[in-house]
Amino acid sequence: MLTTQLLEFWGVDEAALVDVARRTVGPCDVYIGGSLADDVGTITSDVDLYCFVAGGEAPVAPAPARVGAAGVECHVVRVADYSDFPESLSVLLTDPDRAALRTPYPSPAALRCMHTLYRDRALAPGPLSDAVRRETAADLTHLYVGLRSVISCAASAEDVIAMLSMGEYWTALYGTRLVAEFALDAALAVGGHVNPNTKWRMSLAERAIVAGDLPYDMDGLVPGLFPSPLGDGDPFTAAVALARGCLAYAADGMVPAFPQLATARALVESLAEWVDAGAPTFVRT
Amino acid sequence: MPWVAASPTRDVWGVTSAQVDLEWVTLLAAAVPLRVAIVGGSGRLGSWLATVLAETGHRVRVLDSVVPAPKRGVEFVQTALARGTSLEGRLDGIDCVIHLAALHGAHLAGGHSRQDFWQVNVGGTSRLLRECERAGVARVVAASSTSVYGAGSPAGAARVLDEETPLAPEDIYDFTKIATERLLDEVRLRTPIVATALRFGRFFYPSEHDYQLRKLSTGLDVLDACQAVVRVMLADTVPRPAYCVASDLSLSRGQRERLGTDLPGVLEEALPGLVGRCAERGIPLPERVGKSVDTSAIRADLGYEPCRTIAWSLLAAERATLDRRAPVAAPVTRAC
Repeated sequence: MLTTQLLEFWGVDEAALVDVARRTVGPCDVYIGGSLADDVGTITSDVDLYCFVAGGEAPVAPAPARVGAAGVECHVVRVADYSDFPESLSVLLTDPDRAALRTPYPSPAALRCMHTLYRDRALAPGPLSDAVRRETAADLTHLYVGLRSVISCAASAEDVIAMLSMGEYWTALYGTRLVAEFALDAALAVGGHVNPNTKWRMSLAERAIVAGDLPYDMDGLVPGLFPSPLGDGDPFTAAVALARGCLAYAADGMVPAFPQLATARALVESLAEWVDAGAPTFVRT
Repeated sequence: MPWVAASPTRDVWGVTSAQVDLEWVTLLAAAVPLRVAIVGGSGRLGSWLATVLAETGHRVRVLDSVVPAPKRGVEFVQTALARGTSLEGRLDGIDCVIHLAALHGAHLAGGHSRQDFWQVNVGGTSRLLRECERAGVARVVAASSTSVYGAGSPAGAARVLDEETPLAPEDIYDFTKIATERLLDEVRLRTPIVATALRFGRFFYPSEHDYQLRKLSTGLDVLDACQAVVRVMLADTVPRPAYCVASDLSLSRGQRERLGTDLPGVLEEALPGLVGRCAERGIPLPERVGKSVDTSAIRADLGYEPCRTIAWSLLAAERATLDRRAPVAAPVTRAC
């Protein structure tokens, strides 16, 4: 559901959320994060509030709170933890060659914070969150998530090719599914759909399709993401086709054109050749 | 030609303003007529360029979502760079594309999302460049910004910004400008299109004082910006993929650094008497600036010579005082 709908359903307005955040952690800038930042939350979701504080006064793990019918979780982000942040995403633009050798690798907590800032559902913005945005270059989160997905896609494709050559049917099939998932993540990232929690992948895809951010409909996506290994048909073809299509779409929209994209596409093409040539012809065990 | 000054003004501090202005306009008038598309041509810089180009015999097509002031010889095609808008056919028959369209800080304050910035500034540029390639456009000049270098020094020597200065982007606008440059690089390497980014200094016009005094740092007069675009359009070769552009004085690197510690001293060396005349007129000069845009590369490669430096600003102000019929702020070429 749209987050505005959810808040209305719960009887919660934005001022009340800011109020509970500041009563819980003290003076802070407040943003909505998590699934609600992407408009993919449900009525059972909690409201994840990211509270940007200056220093160490705020509690490390605030107790959950309630506002109206909504459960609220406050996540404390200390600006001091992000000063001279070594994993700034700006290198993806300012020095893509270096980024190709050593991609930034922010922690999961930092990535969730970047996602929050990237989605920019600000309830109470200010200089504290601005400082973290600047230090992390959170506005480039889509580039990072896209590149990371491309790298994972390439690694999985390489593994699948090896598994195919060894006749490891089940591992190859699962790996092929991962190839398709990572390629889809890259395509989603190009459109700004960058929630780092993979449980939202399908919800994000549905939203992206509605927004015109994916060149598919759900009927086009599902066979590639959920191959049927026990049927009579070839379960690889749809997944590989989806991976090719998503990578092509990502390559079309990703700037800079990181060399990892070409690598991933070449590996998926090799995988496609295996499938087109009639592989896997090995026996399921 | 209305761009020719009726009476050339006196030489002061090396500023022979009419001739300097006219040199690039004359160059434009003498060139083989070009078919030029100005994307984002309804804005301030685009409007000036459309006027100069049309009046010097070139065919101009303005592409913008906003309707421009009507101008004889300027064709208008209403379009947007936002996703979902087709650009197909909009550049057919065009020799040169001047790409000025972008969301900037005011749009963010006005409610555009940061993702809109990427969609329009980067996605839009990508689609535009693809259409340039399809339509056989020979040359693309695109607006970038000196803001990609980040902040100036807070104290001590001023930062000198030139093409070799490391980039230090700070916000979504900067990021999209760097991404735009990457797209241009890719086109330049892969296709015959001569694609060039101009890292413009600040030519936003908040007030007359700010606009003129900022020329001591990163300021750029809109007509100097026009000149830079024209220089790139007309050059036989454009050696660099990007150039810094400002209405800067011709200073050594050492002098530029000293703008952060001894601004009056540097001005006195470069323009003897200017500091005193500013004082006489009650024009407060800043004590220091934190950065200085160095346009040496575009001067050397393409013959760019800013004619609206701080020296011109003071002369224009003095002339306006002498002739109160002339508005102080009007940066009109023929008024030089």
